Amino acid sequence: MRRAASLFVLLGAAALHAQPPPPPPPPPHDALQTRPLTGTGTIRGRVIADDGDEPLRKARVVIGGPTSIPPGFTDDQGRFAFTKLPAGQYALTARKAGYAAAAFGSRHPGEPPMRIDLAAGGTVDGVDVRMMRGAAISGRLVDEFGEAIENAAVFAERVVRVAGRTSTTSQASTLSDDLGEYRLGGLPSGTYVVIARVARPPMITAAGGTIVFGGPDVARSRTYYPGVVALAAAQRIDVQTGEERSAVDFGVLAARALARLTLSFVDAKGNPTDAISTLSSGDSDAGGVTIGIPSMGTRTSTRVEPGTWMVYATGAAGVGISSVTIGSDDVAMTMALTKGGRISGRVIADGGHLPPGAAVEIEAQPSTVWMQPLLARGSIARTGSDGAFQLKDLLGARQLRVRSAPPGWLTKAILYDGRSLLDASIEFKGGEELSGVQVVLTDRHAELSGIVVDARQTPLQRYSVVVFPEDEQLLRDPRRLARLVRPNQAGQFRIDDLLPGTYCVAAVSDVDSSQWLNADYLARFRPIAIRIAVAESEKKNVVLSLVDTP
Amino acid sequence: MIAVVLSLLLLDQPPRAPAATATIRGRVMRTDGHPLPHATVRLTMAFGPIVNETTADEDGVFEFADVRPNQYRLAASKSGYVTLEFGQARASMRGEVVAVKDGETRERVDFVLPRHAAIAGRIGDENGDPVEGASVSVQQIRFANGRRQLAAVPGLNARRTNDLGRYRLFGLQPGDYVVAASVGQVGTDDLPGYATTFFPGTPNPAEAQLVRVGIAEDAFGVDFALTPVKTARIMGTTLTSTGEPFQGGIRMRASRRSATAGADVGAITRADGTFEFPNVPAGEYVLEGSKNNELGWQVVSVNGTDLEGVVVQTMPGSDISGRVTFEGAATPNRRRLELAAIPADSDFAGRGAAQADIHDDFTFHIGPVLGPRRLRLARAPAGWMLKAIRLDGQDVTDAVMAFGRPNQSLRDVEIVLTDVVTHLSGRVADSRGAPAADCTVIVFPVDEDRRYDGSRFFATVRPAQGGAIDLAGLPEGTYFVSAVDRLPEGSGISEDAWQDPELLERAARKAVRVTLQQGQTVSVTLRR
Repeated sequence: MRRAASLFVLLGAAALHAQPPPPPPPPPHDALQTRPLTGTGTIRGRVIADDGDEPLRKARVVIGGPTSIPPGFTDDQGRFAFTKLPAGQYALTARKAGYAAAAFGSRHPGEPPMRIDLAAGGTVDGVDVRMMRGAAISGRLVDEFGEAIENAAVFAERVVRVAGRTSTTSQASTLSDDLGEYRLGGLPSGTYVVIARVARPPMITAAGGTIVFGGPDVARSRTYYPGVVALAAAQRIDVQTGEERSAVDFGVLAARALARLTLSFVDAKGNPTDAISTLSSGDSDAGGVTIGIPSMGTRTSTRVEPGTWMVYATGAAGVGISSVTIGSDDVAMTMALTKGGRISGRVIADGGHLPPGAAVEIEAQPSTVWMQPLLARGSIARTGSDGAFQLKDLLGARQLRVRSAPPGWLTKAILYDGRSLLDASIEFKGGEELSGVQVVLTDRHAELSGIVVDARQTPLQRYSVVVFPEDEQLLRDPRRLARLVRPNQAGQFRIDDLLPGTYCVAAVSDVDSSQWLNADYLARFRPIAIRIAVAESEKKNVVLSLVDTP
Repeated sequence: MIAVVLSLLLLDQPPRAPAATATIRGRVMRTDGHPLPHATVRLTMAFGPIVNETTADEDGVFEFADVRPNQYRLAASKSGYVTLEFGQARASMRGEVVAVKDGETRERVDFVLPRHAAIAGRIGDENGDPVEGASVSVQQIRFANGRRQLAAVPGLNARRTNDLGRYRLFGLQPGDYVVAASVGQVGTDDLPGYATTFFPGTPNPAEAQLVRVGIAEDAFGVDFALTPVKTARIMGTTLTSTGEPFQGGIRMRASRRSATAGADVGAITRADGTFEFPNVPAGEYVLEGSKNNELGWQVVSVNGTDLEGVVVQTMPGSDISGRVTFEGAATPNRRRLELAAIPADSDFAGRGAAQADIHDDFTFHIGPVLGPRRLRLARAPAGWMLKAIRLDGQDVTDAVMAFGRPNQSLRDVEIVLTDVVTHLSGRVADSRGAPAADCTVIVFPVDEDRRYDGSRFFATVRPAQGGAIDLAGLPEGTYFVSAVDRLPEGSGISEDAWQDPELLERAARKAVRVTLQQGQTVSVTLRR
């Protein structure tokens, strides 16, 4: 801090006598180097208001597919057309002021959209997107004195639960104005929490452009409506299509009131050592916050909201993990850094060869879900040209997984000393070494496709198919093997990246997308699902009957 | 003997560190005389970092206790109000220094904060539908780099319209503003076919209506519709000086003949050297191509019809070489000489002033130089000034010369210095005759042709404590000399803003007229 202060003095003195430098010339702006489209396919449709069926003009339609395509705008009849498209899979979204953004085939946020399969030279018509009027949540933010808070970042978030961890995804965001007022518009109907984030700036610009350096530190504070820190205590706000929910006013927690956490780092001999630290909130109810403290030093401090936090420090002397509970009083803690554990091994292809030059990313992911963003860096290794990899500085409970593989390749097995390490948690306390780990990838995956019919055998156009392994052991991390699929514009579905095995498959009209990816939710589908077994490289085609959502 | 011992003992005492015993107190108030509660007050070193910060109470009263004797400045701020330093008389100047001694209690360090104003309204399209995500900003007419243009107001951010098309621009000082709304940028596909539109609904900045806001006086209902414009495509090829096509390195900006200073625009470029600027609204533009060290320009006029076949060919640059000669007794210090080829047209300024390399034997070289330029002696050693710049017997001291191609290079340019220096000296006094130091003295040529951007006939000087000024080395000629408000420092205001032709015209009416001839010292008395 002292070093920083003297730097400020120098800058302050120089600023008075220096002339403002001319602005640097902007770099040449070749922003739109898109290749002109050379395909022969066409996708056409209309954007319609859901209430009243009237066409919506000047709606912005964005199409995503095998190549980058500039957006289109609907005409006065609400029509759009994308031409010269190459063959492939597409998804389409429409936006218009006053309406909630809508994707083709998706009836509510979180529901995956329907795909459009376009053949070479083909035309897909009737890609109609219905837009519902957007709801809005508005209100006013005040500080502990009742005065307006300006420039706070305010978000409307949906609560979701994935693999047992509760967190939120942002649906809309805005900044509060000088009256403290905010408006979050264009919301699809649903349940939201409102959160305000205030960052105290380190510098304040006084009138005339002089800069006054301020604040001993940057303190962040987050508050959920109606004025609480924990997500669990946040009030859920239900809005219907087009509803105006106003007066969602609340007071923001003063950053000044937060307790200070001071960390000192020592090495194995007890001597002070430099480290960088990251904090992650242990309360899943807090919605999983990670704070990185960028300064490197033997001591660091920051203001932290109350709760249980995991601290991860890394430096020349090694790594350290500690848990700390913060209340309203300042806390000082010493962390001892030790040499972490190590995993080394090789990636091999099951009965074949990986494409030459392909790189695979292996991750020693923290087993506790909310710690994953905390330890993201340093936990990932890329294989070399011989397929070998090494992960170092590991501490805490970890799971080995393949983070990314060349397209078309899936993880078949992870073996160590004859045991499977898939979905298994390994505890590293300091210095453990696992060598000779084998990661087996396969490209001989299976495909499941087909249609869904109702009770009278009539094929359906809109549905969702849920697929997950029958073996409960394989569902410990559902993100690896569970799938949720929607049909394409012709009512057909296709999953092309299944590992051989037996799966529970169920076709339903709707799935709770805010929490489908959890073992306990999927378990509800077991009694109503049919069992389908797929072998290596098998392409299976089925006709599924629609069942009621459990 | 005893005296010596005593003095030795005294010398051995370590100096006492100053104890933190001073107190600073004051009150923050609104312009109507009522207290402003809960303002944040910051205590900073007079030329340095923040020392402490506190929040005033409900009556606006604040106190800093246990302050070390030193020199400080204080600033009060509150959301919705203008941040001011204690004793800040004008927006463009710093506040007073507050010095406290050991044990002193400094009272009445009071602030009066004016409220910020806001402008609010709604942006729609030509059908009346709300436009979401349009960028709305306030702009003011400024003079910089030799041209009048609309420029963003420093310290204020643009705001985006919400789902109802509404916006609120806040944090404004009282004044007159142009309100501008735009969607995306020219060259992107974000709702194409709209030009930047100015309240009350015109794409022409000259027709923009100023919105006035007073102290704490908001302007509501500043609604207007975006103007659909017929946009055109500009297509062409970029070539090097040898005729070879190249990809990329092409950008476009509004020419200085248009009143807006728009952002640079990007293009679709291809490997065969062709480029395309989509969605360009009507106006005059300069296309600039660059490849390695070469640079080239092409001016286009866009009027709704597509333009094809525009060629932008780069030039390798010209060289200027010659020597510095001097008429005088001694030899000047070569290191205090600064010579440059400065741009004469901001549309073709390229990479800015090209500095000369001056060698030990006073020969010099400048290169590569591109675009229309003048030669300028930016700095002369003390006691010397420029007499003339000569080429082939001609006087080219203020001449604009074209550069870019090798056959436009110049040799044997002579920069003549003289040690017979003009002096403009004098005094600035206020209406009572007392010396006035809190101002700037501006000097500008009577001849309007000499008032070009970067002209050597412009000068400013700040009077010394007693109001005295002494300006050496002004070129021969007739000038207006005037004392004006201290020129603003700080970001966002360009150094040459005072050279705005309108401001100069006003200053000329009250200025003193002075003629300087070679070696003369002329004295003036200026009234503030």
